Amino acid sequence: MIRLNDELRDALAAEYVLGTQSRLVRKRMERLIDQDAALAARVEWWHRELAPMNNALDPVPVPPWIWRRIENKLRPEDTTAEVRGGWWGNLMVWRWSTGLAAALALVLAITPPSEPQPTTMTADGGVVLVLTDEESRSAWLVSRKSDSDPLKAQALALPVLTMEQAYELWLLPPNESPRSLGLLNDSGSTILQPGSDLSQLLEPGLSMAVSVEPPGGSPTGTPTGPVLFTGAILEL
Amino acid sequence: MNSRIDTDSKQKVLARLMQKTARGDWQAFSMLYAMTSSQMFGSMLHLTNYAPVCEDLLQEVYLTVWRRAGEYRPEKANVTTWLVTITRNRTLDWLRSQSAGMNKLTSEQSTEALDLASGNPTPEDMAESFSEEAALAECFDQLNPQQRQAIFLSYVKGHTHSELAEQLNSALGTVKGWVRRGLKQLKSCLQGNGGEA
Repeated sequence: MIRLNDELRDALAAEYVLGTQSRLVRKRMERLIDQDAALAARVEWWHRELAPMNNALDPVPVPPWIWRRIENKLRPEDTTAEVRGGWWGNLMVWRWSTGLAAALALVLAITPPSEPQPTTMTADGGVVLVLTDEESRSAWLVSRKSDSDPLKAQALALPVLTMEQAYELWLLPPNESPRSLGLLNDSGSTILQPGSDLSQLLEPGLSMAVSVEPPGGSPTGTPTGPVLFTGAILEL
Repeated sequence: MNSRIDTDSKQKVLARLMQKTARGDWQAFSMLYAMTSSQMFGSMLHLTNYAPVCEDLLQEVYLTVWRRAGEYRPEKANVTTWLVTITRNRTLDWLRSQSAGMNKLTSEQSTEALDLASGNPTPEDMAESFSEEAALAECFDQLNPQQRQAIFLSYVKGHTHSELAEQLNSALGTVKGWVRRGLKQLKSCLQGNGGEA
């Protein structure tokens, strides 16, 4: 086994993380990291310290088929991908409809039958969901620490709206028409304080959606513009 | 300040999702993927300049995440750092396995990747973009321009010393010196700023 002093150990770790080493050296390093805990700790340190450099790199939208391939590999028996296609099919119907019947059809269709459907919340009521577009790109992170806290919606990556448009967040309770949770800022965070009747409905397994509406929100009380993002609530 | 709070709260959510993924929660895994995959994909594209390979590598990375989520330790690194580590290791291994490196790619393929990964960031872009990460930004500013550029290009583009020498039109020994001394200075500065070593 090769004996390394601290200085050499640190220099090797730094260049391993940086990526300057050849294939051969990287292979040797991997063997050394397995044998030398101090070297492994230095590699970990450098990874942690240099990781913020990734913030300089713009995220790039991931082609949707990659997620489908992952699903097929890990859950070949599952039909989620088909169901998701079905959701968006229904959402497209909803987009052009203002009728309650269409909204109800959506609410019934939007819950994937293959997913477990918890019926109770955790003791503290913490929930989270990521609203994604049709191609599984994340747009909003919505979370609540406990059932006595407000909902916080954090914009991740969104299409720019015109001055005549606004994003509106909807809860999709089963067997009911969509309920508005409020308008969302198109950058930064929005704090939403749903009334207690709505707050009680925020259960894991239920879905939310974001539609594009006039600046003051939907004039009808149900979504009137295109539905761009959906997601299901997860217990936090 | 607010964006820092948002970053912290996002990391807390990611840590919880990772914990649930480790217990086999598929929905949590899908959220984790939705929240992080575009950042990892961007990082891979900058390293390889080749989208089709990145698609395969990204799939491999998240298959690894699903299988190894139980190994994640929040006290050692935040989730993004853990994912970046897996992503970079896998991508750098692929890069090094290409004997002729990027020469193997056609110009059309490289152009396609560069279109996807909009623009080529510079060290200055980096200093601006990680202003939230005060320690690294501050320490990076203390390097001389050559050291800064050499370290940045290695990290973002995955260049070896020889590739750096070619890119920066400088002698191999000179470039090695910039990297080695730059890293040493970074370490000393980061430790001085509270980064335990």
